[in-house]
Amino acid sequence: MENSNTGTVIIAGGGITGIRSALELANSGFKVYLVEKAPAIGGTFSQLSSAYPDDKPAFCRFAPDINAVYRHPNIKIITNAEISRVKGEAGNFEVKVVKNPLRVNENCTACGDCMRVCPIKPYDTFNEGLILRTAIDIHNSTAYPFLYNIEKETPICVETCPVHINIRKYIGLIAEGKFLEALKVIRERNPLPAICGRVCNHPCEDACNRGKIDQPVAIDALKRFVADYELKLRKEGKSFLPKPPEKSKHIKVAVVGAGPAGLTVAHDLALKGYDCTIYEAAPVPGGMLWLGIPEYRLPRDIIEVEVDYIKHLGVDIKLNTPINKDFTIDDLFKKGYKAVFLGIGAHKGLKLRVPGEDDYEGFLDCVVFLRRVNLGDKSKPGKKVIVIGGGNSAIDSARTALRLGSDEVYILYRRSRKEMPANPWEVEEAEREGVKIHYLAAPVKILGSNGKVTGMLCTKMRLGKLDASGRRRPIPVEGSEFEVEADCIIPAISQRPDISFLHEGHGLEISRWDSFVIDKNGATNRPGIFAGGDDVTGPATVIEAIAAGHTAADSMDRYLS
Amino acid sequence: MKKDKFITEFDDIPTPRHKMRELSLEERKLNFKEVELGFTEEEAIAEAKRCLSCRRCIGCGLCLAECDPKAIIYDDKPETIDIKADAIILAPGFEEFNPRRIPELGYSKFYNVITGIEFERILSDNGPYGGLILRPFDGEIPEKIAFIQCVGSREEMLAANYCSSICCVNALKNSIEIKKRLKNTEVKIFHRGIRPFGKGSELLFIEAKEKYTIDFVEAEVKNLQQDDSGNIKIEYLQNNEEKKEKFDLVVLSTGIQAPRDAKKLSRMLKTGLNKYNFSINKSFLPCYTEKEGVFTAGAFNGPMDIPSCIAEAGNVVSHICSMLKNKKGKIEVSVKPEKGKYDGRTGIFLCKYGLKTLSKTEMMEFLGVIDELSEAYPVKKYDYACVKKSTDDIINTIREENLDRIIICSCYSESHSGLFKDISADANLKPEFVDVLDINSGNGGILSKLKTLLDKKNGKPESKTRIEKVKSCMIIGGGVSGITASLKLAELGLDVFLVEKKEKLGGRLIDSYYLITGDEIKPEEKLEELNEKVNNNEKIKVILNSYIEEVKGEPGNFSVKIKSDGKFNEIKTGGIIVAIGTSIYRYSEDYALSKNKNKGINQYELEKLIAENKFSAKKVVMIQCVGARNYCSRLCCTEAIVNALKIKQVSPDTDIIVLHKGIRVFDFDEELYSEAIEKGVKFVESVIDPEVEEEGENIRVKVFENDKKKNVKAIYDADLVVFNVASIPSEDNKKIADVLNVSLDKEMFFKEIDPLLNPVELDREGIFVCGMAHYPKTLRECIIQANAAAEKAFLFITNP
Repeated sequence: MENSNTGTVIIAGGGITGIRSALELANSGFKVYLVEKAPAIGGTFSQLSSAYPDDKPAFCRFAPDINAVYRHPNIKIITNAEISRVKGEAGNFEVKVVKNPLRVNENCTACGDCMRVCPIKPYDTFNEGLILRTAIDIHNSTAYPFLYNIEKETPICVETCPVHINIRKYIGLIAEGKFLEALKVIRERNPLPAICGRVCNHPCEDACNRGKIDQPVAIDALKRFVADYELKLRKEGKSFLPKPPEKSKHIKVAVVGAGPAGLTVAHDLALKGYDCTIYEAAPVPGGMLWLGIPEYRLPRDIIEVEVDYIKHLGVDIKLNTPINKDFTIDDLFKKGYKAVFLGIGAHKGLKLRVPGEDDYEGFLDCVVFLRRVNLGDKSKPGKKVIVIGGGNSAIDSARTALRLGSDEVYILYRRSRKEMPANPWEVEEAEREGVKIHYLAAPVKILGSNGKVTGMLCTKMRLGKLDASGRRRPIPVEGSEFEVEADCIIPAISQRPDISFLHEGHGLEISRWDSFVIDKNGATNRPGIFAGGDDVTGPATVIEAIAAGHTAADSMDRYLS
Repeated sequence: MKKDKFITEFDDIPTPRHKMRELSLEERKLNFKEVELGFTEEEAIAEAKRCLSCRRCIGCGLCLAECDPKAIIYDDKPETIDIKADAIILAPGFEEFNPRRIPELGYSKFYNVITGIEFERILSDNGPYGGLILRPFDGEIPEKIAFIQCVGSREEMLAANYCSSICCVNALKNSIEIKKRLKNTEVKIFHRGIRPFGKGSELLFIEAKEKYTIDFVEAEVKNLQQDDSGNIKIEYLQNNEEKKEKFDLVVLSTGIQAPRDAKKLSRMLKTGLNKYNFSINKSFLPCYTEKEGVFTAGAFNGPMDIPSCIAEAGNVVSHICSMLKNKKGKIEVSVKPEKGKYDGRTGIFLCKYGLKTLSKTEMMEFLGVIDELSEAYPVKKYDYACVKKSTDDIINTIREENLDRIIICSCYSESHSGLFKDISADANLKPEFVDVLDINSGNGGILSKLKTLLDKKNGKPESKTRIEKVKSCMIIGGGVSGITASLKLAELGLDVFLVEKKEKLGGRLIDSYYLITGDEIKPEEKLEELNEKVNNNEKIKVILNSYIEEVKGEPGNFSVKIKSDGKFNEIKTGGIIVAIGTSIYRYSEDYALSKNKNKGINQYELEKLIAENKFSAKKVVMIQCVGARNYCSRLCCTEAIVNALKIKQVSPDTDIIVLHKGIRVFDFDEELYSEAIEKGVKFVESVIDPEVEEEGENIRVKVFENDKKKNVKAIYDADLVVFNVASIPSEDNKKIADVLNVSLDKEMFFKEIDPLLNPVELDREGIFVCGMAHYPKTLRECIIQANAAAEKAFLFITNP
């Protein structure tokens, strides 16, 4: 069997199809690896009662096949495992299989004593959750191999979180009243807890198992609570910032952009002993956190304290210092920085591509609008404002306009509420505050006179068939056009990175969406230059930017040492 | 397996989460003060206590303290294994639709609303309630059970506009099972057209309706509500009338979705996915992906039943066998058992499950005899003798008791008998000293057999004389199936005799003008390509205009007498594959147009009309199920819809009415059905055969209400009537089955030895079946089965 000339086949999936294929290939003289995700083979077929009325139980029908697979000298079964990587071509594939630990080894005699004492009773997945089992358990009593295993997997919230904060642990600590310990757990993976506690889109809560019974645990609000709690203690002089790390590495690193990705990179590298400087073009730190998110969701003093924490670690933040054609990335290297992280975000609003756009006063992109307001200009954008789009920045623009004193604020969105990408709770609040949302409508033309916006021609839309991406495509309804009046129109459809700062011959690979192209470690095609966050993914979430920051910081550390 | 399903019995459930305090709407006006105000300490602690910790091992160490062999390793690490491989098969199966995506169904909120697979577990003897049918809410026996079909299938809105194909059969099977176990329980099936998929399932449908009085309600289920006693009220819309009914238990027939890791696998291996994330194969090469050396099989290719999965496995294996023809290794043979002398130490092993088929008195009698025997012989009883736990014990018992013969009383099948012989070899016992008795054969049979066996002093040696197998295979029938099987066997290196009764190869492909798969491939080009491949292959000998007359010899060494043009010929062959296809029903047996002969045609004639640009009718009526008796002919609905769509393409203002007895389109063909409805094709149910009348040049089709009085429901004028006729068993089936000495089923199709696990083998060794001769099939299914049959035949012929 070890003869290297023998044909080898890997089968992913130990259900009936996989088992049959394995047996027949092995009987034809090939070597077979049967890789199954579950702890035992058998697939759905082993869960069936019978295949026909009056027939034997499925596992009984299946027993000879399963027995033959186990006994066949040419078949090796790898359970609890998945294919993780494949390289090469037909006839010469190199396959990496990761076998997850069963936590019980072959010394097990299947006596069952462990099951009797185990205090943890999860739902029995083989029996589809109809009864309980124990955490240490046999997957299926009729299966091969008949072996015990412990299910000790990562909780779903931790798995879902882009930065994998140990959520279960910190929630447990909060339940015991150990708030500072909880914050410590959060800080292991998230340098901006008070900010994330307010603006994170918390995919962990969507995945939370409690949500399947009543409502998910308010994970994000709890994070906010412990962060605020520590802040309060700090203000009262009862808690202190940790001692800053020493810049033991004596290596200078530059970060371009003080948004969440850049701050994370600087934070991580400072803790590792690097000397980090952040170059920020704006007069304020935080990137989109400050320039994009309105104050009523994220007070500016919160951003300041979180940034101060990072500064306290020894990070130097140079505001009003853009990298541009006069002070280029290459100049950074000349100044002695050994590596550069690009975290410039995505601050360029996309065009609507309708006639009349840019022709009139009163038409301004949401990025421009929010930036203006967030830098202190609290003038009213107009009496009647229309925001176009269905994302979070559309909702932010609308609620901001209301707060600036606009009389009527509308949102126009071309799909239906269900498809809206904005956080549903934000949409709800916006409506409560008085924003009116028109679904299934899209702009056709911007109307104006005397150089000022007077309104917009719109069309009704209907949802058609699924497109290749699996979303329903909006289609204009013919002859359904209608006019609306407005003196201010704010498109908020999407953003792209603004790469006009790059000098000629920068040599970086740029995608057709103006984003930086990186490998899975966050490295660009130029050695020493890394990137991450919105300038790689397009507009995304804070927590994803932080995750990208961690990845980049890790690989920069590897690159520099 | 649904890991996300999670119901708990914590006593604080349900309690909503703590709502954060926030500014009132008034306070928010014209300022940018923070809206949300955060938790207080008490609120935070209370909210944090809602966490369920997700009930996984917490590493408490109790089990380790109990474990004598010290087999528990808490911090066991994942292990990475590097494997070099020539080919990869992806068979990840499917994912069950998550009914939580339809909130109206109340799944996971209402205990007595369960999914199809959960109900399978409840019915299972090794399931949560030991095989008793109980409600999860209170453990009561349900008196009224409802099935709701198409949950997560045939729904454009849920991104699943395809038929999951298997759920109807499953619901039928399970409702019959309920009726068998609980005679007084009422069963109702809410459906949107029952579509029993696969061979034999139509009979199941008829049985369910007529023998078991299961209620079928065609309705749209709107909402489910639970009352205090856990009963579920179903609100539904039937014939535009709102109705309500209470049930004790509701089973959702959840659809099939692409496997969860479909995207990951396709990215990693660069294979294609369709818009529902099922795998896309090359046309005419099912299971081939865009990436060479990577194959997909089973439900990853689309919803399918178990026999189809088995056929897919055979198909993939056939491809890999020919791809790696030169890299075959040897199969290691385990140590041969030596113990071959009987000294009277017999052990008796009993499978308790097998007893279930006996009547109570028979069972008592049988157990009485076994008890008596247990004084003289070691006797062991198992719940299930064939599972690993029991077989390990059998091995141990043979060793410990030093047995030199064992008798196993269980349900018998060839493969189970093999299983017990195999495991006994591990305990050094020769196969001839292992006897498996069939409990199902009844007391008289088994008790006398047991007695004779125990009286006998010696084991019966296995009388298998090895014969030299002829390294060739004969294929009967030169349609797509026959050609595919021939090419595959030739590729694998066998000599092939392809016998066709007509003067040319191609079967049904000869009269096809376009394919219903929606491929751009032209049938005539494909046919030419196949003909060329066959004719250029030295290994294939095509014998046209010929019949088989007589088969002599034995499996592996058949001698077949062939009649060609009045002359006889003898051919030696190792195996035979039957691929003779079907005939087409002649509609003239049911409908006769005497005056307007050219206005009544079948679907294939219509296809020709359209392809030759001669179609001009303005009012077309299509009549389905012409000639289909106790089985569904599988193809005619799709054929009708494809033809209707073609008509709409060439003549958009033509009215098309399809008179059907339930439209049965499976898997992704559902999209064609919705497209046809969208394009204005009218589908009218007509369970009673419609009547076609002529008045001069005018044709009228009369449709009746589904009642005994035969009230007229509608009358349609037509200038073309299309009779969508069934594929019926070929008239040659009987003769060929007699010559080959194999069986036909009730409908006169060839009968496989095991419709579930062996869909291509016939009941005489060395003879295989594929294609439509087995049951009507799509082109893709024919190709798959042909390759699977070829692979089985190859294994049989080449293995000594």
